[in-house]
Amino acid sequence: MSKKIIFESSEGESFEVDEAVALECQTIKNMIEDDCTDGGIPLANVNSATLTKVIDYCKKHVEAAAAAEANAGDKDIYGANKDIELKTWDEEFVKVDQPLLFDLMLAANFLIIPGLLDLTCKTMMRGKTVLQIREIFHIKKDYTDAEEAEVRKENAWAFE
Amino acid sequence: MKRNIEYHSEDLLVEILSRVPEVSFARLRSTSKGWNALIKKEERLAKKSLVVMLIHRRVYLVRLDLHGDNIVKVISQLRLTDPLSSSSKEVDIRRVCHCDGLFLCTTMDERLVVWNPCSGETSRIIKPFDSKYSSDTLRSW
Repeated sequence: MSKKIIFESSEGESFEVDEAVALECQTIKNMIEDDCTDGGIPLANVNSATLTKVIDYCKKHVEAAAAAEANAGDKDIYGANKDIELKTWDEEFVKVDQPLLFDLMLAANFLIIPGLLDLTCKTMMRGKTVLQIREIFHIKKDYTDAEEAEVRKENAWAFE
Repeated sequence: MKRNIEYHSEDLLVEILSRVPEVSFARLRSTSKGWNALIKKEERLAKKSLVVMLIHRRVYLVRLDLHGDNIVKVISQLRLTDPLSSSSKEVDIRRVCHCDGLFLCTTMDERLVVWNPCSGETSRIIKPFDSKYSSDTLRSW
């Protein structure tokens, strides 16, 4: 039986995962190496809903890596077979509401999961207007209308 | 968890912004003064653009880094020698255009050469083409 790691969400809920899954998080990997994971790892800034998703992501990617290794001989001419399936899975994975996507990004940043950070950052920004970006990041417009018009004019080529 | 980005580190914002294409920076500058300042000054967001230049009949591949001290850095240079002549005489390049990572050059003597700047390989398109069309053909690319 593989070693288990226990995460504790901000609500105090416990999540037991295989060590291999936890190792996907660089932050946790460091803790495991330093042998300070006994009694569970409290994640005070990750709620249960987000943690569930994060664990799903790590599990899927551990499985995909194992499968890719097992089928190493089966690669197509581009050197990929499972990659497409995993990409599709990733795309489905981030079809969540904006607040959860934001929380996933914060968790990926905090736990250091490069793949998930990349995925969430890109999804967050893709296809958004400046107004939507302000809304997502709760940014108050600090330009006056004239100043904003000026900056837009400078960068008019990008809005064409 | 507070979702206002201002409560989070600038590092995270850089992480996010470093993943958007360059053209989006220009749009994002109108988001707020803070973002505008960050995009302008942050070295980690400097996209290092590649530019193809034709100087003195030679092709240069140049990296531009507007944030660095050394703004222009030559990465690769194409020098063509004439395979038909035994001397390693250099052939002058008249025009250059690019597509899918490959360069197509016309020489002063109206021949076509394809150059892969990654591998450094060149190959000639042997068939000589009608010199009447040569310049116009390239211009319309």
